[in-house]
Amino acid sequence: MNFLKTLLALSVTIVLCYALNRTWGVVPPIGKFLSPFEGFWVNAEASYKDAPTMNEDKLQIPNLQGEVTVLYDENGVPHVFAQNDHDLYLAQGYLTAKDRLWQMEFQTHFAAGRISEIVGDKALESDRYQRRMGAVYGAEKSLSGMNENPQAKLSLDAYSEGVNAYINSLSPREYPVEYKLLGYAPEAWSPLKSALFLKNMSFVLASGTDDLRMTNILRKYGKEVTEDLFPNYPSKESPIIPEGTKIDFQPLPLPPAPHDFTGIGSMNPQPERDKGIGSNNWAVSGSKSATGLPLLANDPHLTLSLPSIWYQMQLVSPGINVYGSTMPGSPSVIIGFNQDVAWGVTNVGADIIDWYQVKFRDKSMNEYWHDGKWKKTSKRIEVIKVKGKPDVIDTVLYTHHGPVVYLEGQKPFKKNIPVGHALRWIAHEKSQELAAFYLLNRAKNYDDYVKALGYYSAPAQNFVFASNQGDIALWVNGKFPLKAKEQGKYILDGTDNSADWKSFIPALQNPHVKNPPRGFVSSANQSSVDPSYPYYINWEFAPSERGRRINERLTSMTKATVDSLRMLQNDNYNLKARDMLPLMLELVKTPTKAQAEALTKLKSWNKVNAPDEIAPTIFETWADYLREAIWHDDFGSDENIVLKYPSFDRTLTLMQKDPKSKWFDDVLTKNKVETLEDLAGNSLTATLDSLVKKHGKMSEKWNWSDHKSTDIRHLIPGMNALSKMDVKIGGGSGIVNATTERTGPSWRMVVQLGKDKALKAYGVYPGGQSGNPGSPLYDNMVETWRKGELNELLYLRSKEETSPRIKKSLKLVK
Amino acid sequence: MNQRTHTPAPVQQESQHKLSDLFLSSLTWAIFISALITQFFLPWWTIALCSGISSFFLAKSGGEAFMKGLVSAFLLWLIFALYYHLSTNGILSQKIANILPVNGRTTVLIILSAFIGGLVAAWGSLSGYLLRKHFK
Repeated sequence: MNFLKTLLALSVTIVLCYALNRTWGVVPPIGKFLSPFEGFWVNAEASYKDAPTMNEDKLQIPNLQGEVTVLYDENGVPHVFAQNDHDLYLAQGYLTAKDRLWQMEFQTHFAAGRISEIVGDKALESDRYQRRMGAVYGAEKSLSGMNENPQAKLSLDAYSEGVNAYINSLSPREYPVEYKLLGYAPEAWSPLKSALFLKNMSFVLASGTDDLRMTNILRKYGKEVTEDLFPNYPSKESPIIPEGTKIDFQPLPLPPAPHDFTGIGSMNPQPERDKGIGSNNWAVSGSKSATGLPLLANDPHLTLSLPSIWYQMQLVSPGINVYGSTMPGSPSVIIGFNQDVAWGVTNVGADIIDWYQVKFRDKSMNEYWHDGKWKKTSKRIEVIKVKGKPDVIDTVLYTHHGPVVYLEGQKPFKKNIPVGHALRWIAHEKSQELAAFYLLNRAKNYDDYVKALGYYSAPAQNFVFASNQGDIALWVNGKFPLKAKEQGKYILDGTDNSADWKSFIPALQNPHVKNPPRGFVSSANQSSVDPSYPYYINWEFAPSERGRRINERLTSMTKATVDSLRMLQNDNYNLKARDMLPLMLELVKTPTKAQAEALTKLKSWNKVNAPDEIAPTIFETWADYLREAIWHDDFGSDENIVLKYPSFDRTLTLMQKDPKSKWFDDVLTKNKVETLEDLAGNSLTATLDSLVKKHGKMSEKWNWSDHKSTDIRHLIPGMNALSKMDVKIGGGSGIVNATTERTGPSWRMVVQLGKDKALKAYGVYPGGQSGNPGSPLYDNMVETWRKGELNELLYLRSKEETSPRIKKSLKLVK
Repeated sequence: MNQRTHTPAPVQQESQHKLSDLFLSSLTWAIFISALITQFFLPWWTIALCSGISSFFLAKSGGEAFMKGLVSAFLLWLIFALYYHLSTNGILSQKIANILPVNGRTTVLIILSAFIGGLVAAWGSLSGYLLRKHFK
């Protein structure tokens, strides 16, 4: 009896320990997690301000060649002083991991299609998609490219050593809190992970593809209608390379166009491309600035997240003193400045992703028809580990174009991916982006910048540049296939050799402009060039509103200062409203009482998407509903074939120039012909109904920022407690301050170029330097960002330079 | 209900004595100190070993072992959880209290943490005492 009692007590103890030491679905290991000795409690940090100033800590790091001094300012930005490049990048890896380890690993796990290892099979389709799109395949190729360049290899290897030195120094109680929450442990870092991270930027910025939608439209309406409604250049545009810029090279002949081809399209529905991803950058020359030297500004728009995608750093060693935003996972500064030059990036949105309809010989799919021959497919085996389940083995077929992402009968994870088609994508090319950033970080003048850009392939970016020698420039830069005009607007014939990518536009012939007469350069993802540029980059770019607005304001700007550029970054003026609202108002001839109230609001509106205005809520919703009303019957998605709507620009010209167009009739209503006036009235009523349903009667609940509700979310879906929800901020899609529901300016920087101390720089991102939700530096910059303010960036000339802003120092020694 | 006010004096003294014994006995302290030291280096569940070994040598009854295991570990975890909570202005505890099902109440989170520690130590403690009996 006693024996049984003992056994029972022992069993309860052991079962308790076991059960509270492991995860159960989404439940963390409760005992371990709640223990104040190793659980989440340990991750809480006291306020940074209370920390004693200048307590010099020493940390031993194996592999260091010399001593590294790190000075932390009040925002937790490390200013790193090393004696050689190896130690510099090792320290970058170490310090980044110290603040952002979990994020670095999670993002690269995501990129590599390995989230199922952490959360189980609910991530399986996402993982499979990453693998089938060739994410790992591309990263491996990219790594081999980077290893060919000694400087890129040095930075990559040292960075990796640094991250691993940090990981190896950790005991489980010191793991970032997300590991404790999800119940797993960090693994070793490797250069391949950096490559995966960089390749993932192509997924974020250069994987949008409308080829399938366009082919479906081509099949339904034929070439003439399709080209009319989906033109290759918008009616309103202010291209990145100013009109009239002369080309300074002898263009190569274009390859012959592939033979006419109408693909079979696809039977899968698909979501629209994310319109919020984009960016702004510009530089004004000394002729327009108060200092007589250039100013440069950049704000890349990405999904807003915590921890932030950016991490500020100053990196100093012999031959380099650069400050800017780095990306956790990659060595070097990505957007920043040094003593002499500053640079920034926006996405190009080039047509560097094409789909080829594959003709297999038989069901074995071992051979496919191309250029009059049967050619062999190759197979790549992807093993996906799944938490708590057996491994999933996935075989991906490759043609010479690239992976056949989904086979007949498979259900794509993203609905814009055609089934049975091979993917040709720039992200699968060998590349040397890291060499480009290595050189850019050290650039002293325009020539250094151009040389650095030559190493850059993807995702293609508009690199804006300014120097303290007075130069401003912008290169639309990346590796662009040399294609026939519009080759790849639609799905291509995988059997036709002339549809293949044969060569690339020579790097020095990429669109560019230096010191234009107008005194500024700018980009906002709009059309790279006007139709006179000899090569095809893409048939459609981001809508022109942001670019046009920026160019208008820069044109009228004189004696520009840092503050005038900061104000422009925060500009909330709605160009879509200026272009379309007057016409919309005219169309409602006999308003109902409710409509009249809304129209009054709209008529008195100054067309600024300010947070406390009701009018932008009404306008944005109405404009969406009207476009929906015009196109849903002709280009709407039925269950089987999904299409895409003509652009805002094309819709507007149709409304202005062809108000009786047949497209305004709703073909779904029999015996009735709708007019544009009908659609405008009906869509306004629908707008008001839906707003009342969502927010109640018209009141401050309709305010733009409340309606839009911008969230900065933690990377783990659903972790609202670790997110900043409902940030009160204006702006929107197509606004210079491009803050939408989930995306927005992820880093704002303004640099005033100058000699010595005249150099001033300012920046902020919506987050904080620490990735630890238990740190006061986790989200401390969000409020500064929200208010449209910038922090002055502390640029130290040497480690001896003193500043009251330095709060902590750290020595890294062998 | 009124009975409590009529409790004879000796019983009251006895219960006071019991209460101070619960907090001040050598067994309580043995668990508290041994757990305090090992918890910094070893996994959290060694709290069950600490209380088990202490009770193996010092406990005189099953009830005593269980209660003192519970109380000492509860106190130990409570003190440390409170320390982290207060010294960091609840910067993380507030967020975690919104993730776990405690309705954002940090007090509940702190007590829950302490209780988990106490519970595991209590069962370890009881096991240690019972094992001892087989060696007599």
